Amino acid sequence: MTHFGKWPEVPLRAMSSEAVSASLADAGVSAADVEVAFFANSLGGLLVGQEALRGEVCLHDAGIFGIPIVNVENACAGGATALWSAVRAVRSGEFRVALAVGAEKMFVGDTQRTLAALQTAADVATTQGQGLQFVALYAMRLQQRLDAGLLTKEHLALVTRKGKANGVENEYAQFRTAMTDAEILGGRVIAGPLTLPMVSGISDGAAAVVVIGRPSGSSGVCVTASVLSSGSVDGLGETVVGTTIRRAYLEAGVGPEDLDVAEVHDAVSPAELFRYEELGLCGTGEAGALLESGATAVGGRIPVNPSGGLTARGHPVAATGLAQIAELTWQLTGRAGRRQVDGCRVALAQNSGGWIDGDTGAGSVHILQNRSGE
Amino acid sequence: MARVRLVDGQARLLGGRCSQCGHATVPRRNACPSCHGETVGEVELGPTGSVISSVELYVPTAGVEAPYWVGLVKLSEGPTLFTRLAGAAGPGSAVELVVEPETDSYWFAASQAGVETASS
Repeated sequence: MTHFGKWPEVPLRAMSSEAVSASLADAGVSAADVEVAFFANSLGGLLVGQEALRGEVCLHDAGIFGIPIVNVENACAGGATALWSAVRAVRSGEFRVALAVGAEKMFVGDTQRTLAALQTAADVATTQGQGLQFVALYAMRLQQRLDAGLLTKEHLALVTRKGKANGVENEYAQFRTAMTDAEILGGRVIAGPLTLPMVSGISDGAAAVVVIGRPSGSSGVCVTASVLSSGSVDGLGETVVGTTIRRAYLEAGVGPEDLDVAEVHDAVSPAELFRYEELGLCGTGEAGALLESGATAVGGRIPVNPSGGLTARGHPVAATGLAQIAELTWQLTGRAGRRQVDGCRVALAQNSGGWIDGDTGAGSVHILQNRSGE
Repeated sequence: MARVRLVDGQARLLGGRCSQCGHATVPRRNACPSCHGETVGEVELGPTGSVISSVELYVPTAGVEAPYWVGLVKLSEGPTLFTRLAGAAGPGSAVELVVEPETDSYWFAASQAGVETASS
């Protein structure tokens, strides 16, 4: 992956190339070995004007051509959706080496234009003119927990402080400055209980993952679950986050007690607290206590977002799901530097995006396991 | 595709209702998300609803000056909408739809006598 950040001079294709080159080198394959590629990008049409053929344009620049290139769009879950597609291409037996790429260019010199583009990750026929939806939905859900006494503002500060501290140790992170609770809670108010340090900002970046078919039983980082779903409608049925987590545990044959590390989608940092309960790391209403116990910090029982999460690493939307996979691959192979989780063998990535009809628009969960030494 | 309408001075939202199970949605869906029935008729919904949750936003966005209130409002007929609110209205508050057909826009305001519709 690239160092996420504000890179106004770096075009989408250059970020894509950098991420692709790094992932190919890490996998020990060349561009000529790649047999199929899935390219995720959400906002390129609106923000850089490349509406059609984004994958071909960006990947030809990286030396990937003459193979099937599939363009993927699934809002903030685009990266995981590209991986889900690559996993299926390899599982089918038709391709041995598949490439998943997520890239986003969000700094285009006009914040309002970027915010307006982000607002299209919804049914625009119903949300047009209704204001900023995503931050409001998170703020309302958190306010309900605060009102019910299940969370306190100190929990919101603590989970944010944890993420910022992890980001300090992540050389790929956009924001690498530790913050105090006073600075977090005293930040500019964005919506209800959410302040500026708690919300993911605008970011440029790309990430890429190579998926290679190997005989079963071989060692290395294996994808043991790959789940994608669209959301429910009008509250009918299970939420997309719940569905994807449940099905991923089933597919991998593991449960929350088996996880060594998790990267979760925290578009606002306190959303990490919702994920604790959804992942089954604690019971309903116990997220605050789990956080306070230190279990989810690096060095704890089940570190969550050792990368810093979306608000510290940065959230170039279609790149996020693959940045999670990059982080977990480094964690599983002992290459995460000062944020390394010891004894890391089972890792979970949860990525979601958009909002339609009362639920997240799209969601995905992948479970990775290091099978070396088994 | 218009979203709103004024009917005899009363604000209405355009939605759909399944002829099979009665489930109502905004906007109308061709297939009912509840029973998968495919005979969904057009229906006018509102103007009354109640606030499920609400929040004040401090970031302006296209055509909306900050600060402003938004919320989730459950219409009397069932569907829940993410919508702008005319002002603070906490959970459980009764609210009423306000429409502006010229701009196809809508929001909800606290229910009170004399506040039914607004037009510019």
